[in-house]
Amino acid sequence: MNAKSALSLLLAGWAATAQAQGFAGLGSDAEGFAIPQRGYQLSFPQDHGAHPDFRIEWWYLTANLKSASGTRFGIQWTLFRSALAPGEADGWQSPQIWMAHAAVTESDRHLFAERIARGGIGQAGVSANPFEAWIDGWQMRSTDGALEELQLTASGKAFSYDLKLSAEGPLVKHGENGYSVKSESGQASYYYSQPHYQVTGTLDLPEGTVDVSGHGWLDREWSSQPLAEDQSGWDWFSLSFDSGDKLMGFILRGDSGNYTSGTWISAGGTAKPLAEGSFQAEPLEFSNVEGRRIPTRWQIKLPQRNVSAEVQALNPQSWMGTSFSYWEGPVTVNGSHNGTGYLEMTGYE
Amino acid sequence: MTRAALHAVLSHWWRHPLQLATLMAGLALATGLWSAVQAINAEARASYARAAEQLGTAGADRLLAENGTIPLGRYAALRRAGWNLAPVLEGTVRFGRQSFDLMGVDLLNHPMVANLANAAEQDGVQPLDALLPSGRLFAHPATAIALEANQTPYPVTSTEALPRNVVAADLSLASRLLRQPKSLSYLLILPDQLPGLRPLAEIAPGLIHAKADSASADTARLTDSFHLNLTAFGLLSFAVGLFIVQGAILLSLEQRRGLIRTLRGLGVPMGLLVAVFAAELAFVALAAGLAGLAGGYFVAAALLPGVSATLAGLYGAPVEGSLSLRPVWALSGLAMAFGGTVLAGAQSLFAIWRMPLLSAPAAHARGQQAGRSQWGSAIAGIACILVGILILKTFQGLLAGFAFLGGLMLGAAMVLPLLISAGLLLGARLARRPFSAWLWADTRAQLPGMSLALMALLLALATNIGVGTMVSSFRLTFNGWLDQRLSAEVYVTATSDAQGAELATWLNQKGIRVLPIRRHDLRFRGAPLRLYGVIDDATYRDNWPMLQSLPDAWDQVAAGKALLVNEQLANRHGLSPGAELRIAAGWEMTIAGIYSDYGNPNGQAIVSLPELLQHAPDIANRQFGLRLPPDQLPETISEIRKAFEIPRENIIDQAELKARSLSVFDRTFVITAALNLLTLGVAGFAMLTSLLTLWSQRLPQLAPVWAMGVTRRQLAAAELLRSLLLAAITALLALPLGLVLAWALLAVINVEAFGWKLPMYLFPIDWLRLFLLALLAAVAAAALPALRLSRLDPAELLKVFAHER
Amino acid sequence: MVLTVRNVTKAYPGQTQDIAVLRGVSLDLAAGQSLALTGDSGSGKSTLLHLAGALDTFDSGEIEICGTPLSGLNDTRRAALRRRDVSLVFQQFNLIPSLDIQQNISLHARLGNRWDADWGRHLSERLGLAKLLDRYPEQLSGGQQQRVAIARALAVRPKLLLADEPTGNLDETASSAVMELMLALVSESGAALFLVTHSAAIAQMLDRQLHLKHGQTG
Repeated sequence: MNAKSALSLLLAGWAATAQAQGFAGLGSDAEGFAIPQRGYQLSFPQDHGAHPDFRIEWWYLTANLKSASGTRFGIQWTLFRSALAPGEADGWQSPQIWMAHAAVTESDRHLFAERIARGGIGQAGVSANPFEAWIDGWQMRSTDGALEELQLTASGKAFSYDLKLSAEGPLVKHGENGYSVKSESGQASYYYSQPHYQVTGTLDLPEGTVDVSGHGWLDREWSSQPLAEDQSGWDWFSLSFDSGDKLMGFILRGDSGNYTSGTWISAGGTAKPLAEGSFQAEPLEFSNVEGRRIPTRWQIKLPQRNVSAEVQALNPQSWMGTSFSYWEGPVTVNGSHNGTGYLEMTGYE
Repeated sequence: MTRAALHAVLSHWWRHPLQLATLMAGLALATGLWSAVQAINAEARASYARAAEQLGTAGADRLLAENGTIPLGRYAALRRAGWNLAPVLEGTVRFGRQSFDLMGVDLLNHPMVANLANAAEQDGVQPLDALLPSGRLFAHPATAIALEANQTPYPVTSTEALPRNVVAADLSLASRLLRQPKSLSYLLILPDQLPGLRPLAEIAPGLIHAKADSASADTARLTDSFHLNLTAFGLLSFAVGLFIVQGAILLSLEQRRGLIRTLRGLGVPMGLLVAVFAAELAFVALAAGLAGLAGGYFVAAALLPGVSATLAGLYGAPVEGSLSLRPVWALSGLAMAFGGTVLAGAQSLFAIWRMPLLSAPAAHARGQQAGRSQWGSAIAGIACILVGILILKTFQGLLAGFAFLGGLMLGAAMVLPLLISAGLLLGARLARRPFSAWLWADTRAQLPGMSLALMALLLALATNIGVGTMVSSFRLTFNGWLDQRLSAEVYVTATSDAQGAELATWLNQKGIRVLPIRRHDLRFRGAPLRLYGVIDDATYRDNWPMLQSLPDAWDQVAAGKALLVNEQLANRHGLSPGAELRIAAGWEMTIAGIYSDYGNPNGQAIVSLPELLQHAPDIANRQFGLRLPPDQLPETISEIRKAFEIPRENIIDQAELKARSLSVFDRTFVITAALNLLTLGVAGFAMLTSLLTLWSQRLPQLAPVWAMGVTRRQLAAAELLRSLLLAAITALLALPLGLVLAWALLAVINVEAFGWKLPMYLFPIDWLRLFLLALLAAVAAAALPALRLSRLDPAELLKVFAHER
Repeated sequence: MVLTVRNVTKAYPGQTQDIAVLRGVSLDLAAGQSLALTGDSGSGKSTLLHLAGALDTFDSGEIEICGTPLSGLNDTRRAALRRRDVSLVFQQFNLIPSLDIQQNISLHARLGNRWDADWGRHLSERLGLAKLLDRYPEQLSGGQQQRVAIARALAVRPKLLLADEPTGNLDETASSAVMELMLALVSESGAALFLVTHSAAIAQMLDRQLHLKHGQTG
């Protein structure tokens, strides 16, 4: 039995019960876990670090890069924290489990890797000041102490990368000053981003080393119950237009209707939350991915900003076949606005 | 033509069913005992492999620390360097009245995680709950029952995916139970590694990289000698069985000489005849091989529990008590049956090939041939023995030891006919009365037909004497050694270190001498080494079973300058008193002495307790030996139990401990005793079959004696006497051979296999018993032919003359 | 000619020098004829019979059986010849002790794939063996055993029957009875008979007689 399938087995029970309620346990009741409060003031650098009293948390970086010859690459680096119980303890007694996914996506290839680790023993974790997030040999490390300058590394069997990230704009808080509502019944998370990274570095691929550069987007989110009981998954867009404006929008798919939300980020970095329902996305085309039917071309609309464009996956087969599997990959935007972005789709069974 | 020829050749068996039965039984016995031993070996090896696989240690290299433990931080650092490692913490944990071997693993990344997760699922538990404070133990169903019987305060998931002797738990629980939150026993280097990592030798220079075969081969290394022993026994049984087979094949050929010649006269080509005989042998091999396999399977199934006990007693190696059928085993058993038949029948086939079409064999010439072949066989036998000695002198090691034994046994068997013949010749010279003179001469004439069976008897008897002497000597030595080693009157195990310290103080106040038993396990040159720390006490100076030592050994040990090593360690690494020994980095001491340490396969050493605590401050302090006058024993025990919450089982007095050790010892040799008896049984059967097959040839020799006025009853008595005579001579010759065998086992094989040399004791009463047993076997074997002779119809004897006209 | 012997010589290796047993023997035997070979012990008559039966090889000269010269034949071809064209009756009967009488009678014919059950039944009736067919050789008297050997030899319907002192183990009465039966059956089967005997009386019962002395015909 290889490591991956062993891991899936281990996590299967956890995932099965979780998925009955929503993706990866995000919809379950928060027993003993802290719950996001409206009006909480995010404070940095502390909030860049881990929040062990909350059930789930992530440090989620995606980037659209190009080589000197113009080949497009998508990069993903995600560290998940998942608590079996609230709080932190020393050594092996820690209830925190860390999981990380990394991927390199091209139009015709999607490489990914996964790491899983215990908290408490130093194998994985996040420190706020100076900022460092790590698991095994992967890391996202601040070179200036804060989140403005980062070094990002990850490696799998078939790839590795080493990138420098440099922020060219301010942090962006989503929702109500970072309090992001996720359902009609009030489920919410803390959610902020740094969508303004200039990225340079190298990718090590089976064919050799490639110098790349482009734009990166970091999402930080933590919560204990971001999904309502009836919500089964989401479609999440982070788009950077050629105009310099950016759009984050998501649809939470629920039995009793979808919940959509998002943020408009102007070229200058000012963030405007979008009212529920104002961001619209309709599937135009489905692809058969790992035996599932997954929308890989979308029509998005944001009437208040005159956005009407098609979002097309760079590689429709950007499937993360990890312990929790989902679709995650770079996209191209064409229409009223042109640009690139990332699309994440979960809960497709 | 082929069918008619085949029918004519095979019709022989129809008329001689007993001969066929002998042939089949001999081959089935040979195959059976051999394949029984092989089945046991295969099962045991499969058990080790399964255990290694179940524990995820099969095929994985390990990182070990020289001083025994790896700091947790070291592990995290190696993970951050990209290495995919699985941490393991091992130790012993006590629940209720029983100790268990606990293996703590990171449930997120150990190779056996999938199995454990599966098992937990079936229990309706979320596997990850095992990471939470309530914890969860995983164990084989049998072990799980023991855990529950001892009121283990943790939920237990039972799973067949674990070997019997191990309790597994996530490190969160294991590190708590073993009180080692910050250290690990070893790191498995998982097969799945990223390319381009910095080499371990560079980033972890302090850790030892143990190769998979050496690491997981701890059990294999220890048990290999045992399996080699079993194999040797199996081969011996096989050889004894083959003697029967060869005898039967030769006889059947002898009786079909006329048939062969007639068939050739009738125009059956030689090639076809040889083919027919080969087909006959092949069929016999197949049928007897299958029967032998079936028998071997049952013998193995019957012996396996004993073997499990032996292996568990000797090495702590886990072997399941049940036997499974393996195709490889069946095939190898059949191959042995075919190989053996070819070996035993090749001579016959060659004889057919060489048999002239015309001239009849001359009885007289064959008599001379027998004499010549006795000399030839004896010379070859002496050559075998010499080659064996040469191998022993030239090459070291267990295999050389067995080669020597093989040469000795085979050689002695080959010399046997000449020696018996000489003995009989001597007897004939001394005989006064004509009847006894005839008896001696006739016995000598019968010798060629009997010699194979007698060789089998010789081997079986010598093996019995040799192995019996070895086991008994071992037991005697072991017993004396226990007396020395277990010198404290009572042994107490506290339930915690704190209680241990309290108990020691309390006992000291009561004026009882307390000997703390504290130890630290580490690796020395790739193998486990257990280090004991002792205080300076007369008990050790007076009783410790030293083999060699410097004059002031205990003073030097007490001063922290020197250490004592056990015989195994000294043998393995060629250590001697006075030499310097580097135990671990920066820890070097003089070897002050070597002590005997039976029943323990691993290296062991003794240093002073303060010295040990300097290098391993965290070792447990729970076991104590107490010195006190025996009459105070019961009172003290009940006082201890009143003052401390120590379960009754944790207080063992000397006598009980000795009894336990001896019972482990005895279980260890159950299998040896069983195989001994089986071998002797086979030899007895060989005698019976030779006598029965000779029966038909005997009549022409007996008829004239009968005609001269010797009654049938007398002839029958002579038949018994002859059998006794041959068995007695063989048994006498077996004694020196057995003693040489015992010497080889004690002084050569034991040293190679276990690392200790044992003194040899003689047990004449056992020899006498065996001698009588041999005579009994001879009488039993001759009883049936003798009975038949005493009731023989005189007409049958008359026929001899009628035919000879 | 069924059997032609031309100038055959044969010597056995001795301790110092070879011992010549046959020194240029010649004879002919036509189908349906019978020939008795007499001579003292050691005159080479059994050797000549063995040569004629392709049981042994000769040093020089030639022997032909039904026109087939024996000198060029390998062991397999000679065995084939014995299975079909030549039958032997020995002094020691040479029955197979583990086969019953019926099986003994049919053995040779079945080896040559020419077993004729009717002919076999006829032979056993004529030889007085009909009631003994399910017995084993050791249960029969010497005369009975020799009649079984004759039945076995004739069951093949050989072109040439070789008999080496066939009645040598029998008393006089049994001997002449067996001889008469054999001669009658031989002429019935049409085989040529080549018989070795030291008895002048028996030799007289055959068509021709030949005397061998010091390895030469006189």
